[in-house]
Amino acid sequence: MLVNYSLIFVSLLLFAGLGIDAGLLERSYLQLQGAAQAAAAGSSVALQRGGSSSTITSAGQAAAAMNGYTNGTNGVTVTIANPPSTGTYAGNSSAVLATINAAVPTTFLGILGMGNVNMKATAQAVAPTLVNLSSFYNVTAIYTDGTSIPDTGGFDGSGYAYSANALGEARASNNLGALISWRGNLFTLGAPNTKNGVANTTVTLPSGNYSQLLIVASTAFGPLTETWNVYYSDNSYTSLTQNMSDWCNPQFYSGETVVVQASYRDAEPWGASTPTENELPNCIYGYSINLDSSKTLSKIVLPATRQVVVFAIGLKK
Amino acid sequence: MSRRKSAQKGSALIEFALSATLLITLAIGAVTFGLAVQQGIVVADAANAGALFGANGTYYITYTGGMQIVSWVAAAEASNFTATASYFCECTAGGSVVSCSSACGTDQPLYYVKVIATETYTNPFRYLGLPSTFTLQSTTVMPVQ
Repeated sequence: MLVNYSLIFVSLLLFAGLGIDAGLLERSYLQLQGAAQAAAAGSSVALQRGGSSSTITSAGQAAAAMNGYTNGTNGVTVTIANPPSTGTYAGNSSAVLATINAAVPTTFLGILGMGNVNMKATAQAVAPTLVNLSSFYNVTAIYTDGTSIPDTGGFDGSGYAYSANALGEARASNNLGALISWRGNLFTLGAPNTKNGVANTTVTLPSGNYSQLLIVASTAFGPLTETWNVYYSDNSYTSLTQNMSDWCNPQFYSGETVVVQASYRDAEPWGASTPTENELPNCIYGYSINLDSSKTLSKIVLPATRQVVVFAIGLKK
Repeated sequence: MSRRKSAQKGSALIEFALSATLLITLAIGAVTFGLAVQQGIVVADAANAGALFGANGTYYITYTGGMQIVSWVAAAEASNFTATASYFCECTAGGSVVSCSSACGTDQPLYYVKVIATETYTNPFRYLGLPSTFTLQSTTVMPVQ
């Protein structure tokens, strides 16, 4: 009888241990998956910043290490593939695939000789194809602090403009446009004090099949409700009618995301003799249009108004 | 005959008492650890959710209050939960932390968001020297730009 009880007890103990270990492993997997997402994001940032292959790999591995999974220690391997050889973005040089393999220690399962369980988590990130807007720029919307703004110029056509310094001091001091991020997609704004925004025109898009178009833009004297039409090579089009907040008064409309907020703007309105810093927070927003990826992209017709200025456009596969 | 039956009854009672004690101890232990593990999963999920919110874009990097709120919402079933969110910058990935207003050559630094989720789990069954509380913590760091 005692033998029976002992066997039953040991069996129950093992099953209870199995349940607890399963829970612990699930927790470890969540952390491993978070680390893989961080690794993919880190390597994608390095890729979008123009990093070399080794920089892309080390950025991904550094992000994994920050989340507790250091490549080469405790049975952990972190590999970064650019382009990935498998998965949705196989062969896409804009994509990265992060894979983390780890030997996760168990507690009770060790009794059965399973001291470690090998776990694997993967995550991928894909950078957008950035549309070169330089030949379409027709508005000088961003200035460095202290630069004179024409009375009828600036972002709003009335002498107010975005401050390149407030958007990104490090690059502004080198006369470069700010680097901003939206949902893991990096955009570089146009250089300050020259044409750096696009309004009221048609922009030719790279020929290709894409699933989403990302617009980084803002509105003066808003809010406005505007329509965006994206055309395909067969002359059919996808349309988006979108509520758009004023640049200094975000309304958080559906379909609208604040991408960046600057703490002040530059001002030299009519009658002013020198540019000043106007302490009014101002934003740049993100909007997205879902595309028909079976069709070849052709162009986008921007809203027919000077009030809506586009700073960057990206395309996602 | 009657004495043998009586002895058997006594033996069964002792066996039942012993096995019941062991099984109840085992069951309580399993429940205690199980609940703690379940809370640990909630904490890990909350840290991930908060950091992913912060990684939404440039605007969100400094919105640490928003990251904390998202973590709290993700950990709604935890009773003694705290989340702290922060951001930091580096010039090279994995290198030294620098001021986010500093320049890295001619470029902006790399930005990261960090969320530390902590749950002080109160052990409902205090026996065999087990602590009355467990501290469950999970940290997620996400690169943003």
